[in-house]
Amino acid sequence: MARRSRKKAVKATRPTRPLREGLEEAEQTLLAIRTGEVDAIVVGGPQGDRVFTLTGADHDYRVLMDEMSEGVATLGKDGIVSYCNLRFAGIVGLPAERVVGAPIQRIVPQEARDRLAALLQAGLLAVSKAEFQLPHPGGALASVLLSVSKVQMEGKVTLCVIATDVTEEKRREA
Amino acid sequence: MKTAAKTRATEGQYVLRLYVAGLTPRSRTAIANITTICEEYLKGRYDLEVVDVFQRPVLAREEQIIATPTLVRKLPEPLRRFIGDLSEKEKVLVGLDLRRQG
Repeated sequence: MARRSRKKAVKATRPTRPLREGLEEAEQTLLAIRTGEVDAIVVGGPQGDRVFTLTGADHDYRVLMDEMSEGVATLGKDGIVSYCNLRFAGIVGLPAERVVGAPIQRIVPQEARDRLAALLQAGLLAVSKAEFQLPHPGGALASVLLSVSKVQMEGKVTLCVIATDVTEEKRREA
Repeated sequence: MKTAAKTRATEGQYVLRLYVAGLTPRSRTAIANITTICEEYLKGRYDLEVVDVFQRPVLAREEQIIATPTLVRKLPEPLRRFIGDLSEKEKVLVGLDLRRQG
């Protein structure tokens, strides 16, 4: 109701004042959200409004995901990475923001790309594993075991890649 | 990071940063949409970073991100933001100056 009357007022002959008030309100709302003065957001949807609380168990899961010792990444059938945890980025030696949104092939050197493609293909059928030597910044080579499996997310085929750094084990074996 | 983005600024080069919140449906859709648009319209002249606000809260605050997904066009200037999953392709193209309005 309030929104409607404001819209009408904007169209009136002297629009400046209501427009400014509306802008102020919008700015105040954004500032309140940004500075953490709110703890829930109401979002409209086809089934009516839904309330999203801004603190909760989600955060704990996220901490767990980023602190675990194994790297996790997901990718679509197009091979574009849709998510990776911080550990995954660390194991492959790239910043997370360079891994997500890019083809997974980016994490291995040119000569290993066919082998990675074959691994992903095999992962669509059954859990598959292969080891790769990944160059890290500074010149060191890391031995990384990649395990690929298929999962369904919202009905879409998604590949889940688990990365384990086995450099230390390899060194001990040698 | 700001300086890195600046040094990559050459003629016609796009520097985009997409802020997402992990593996949420909208985040995944936004990533799929922007990578498709970039490959189709900006192939070879874009630099896209996808930032997870859970992993980089400081960066998100600096950029004044209040909701995800948000796409920030850092270059070419002026800086522009698009909130949402970028499904309205035409709107995104106009906003990125990749298509004339109307």
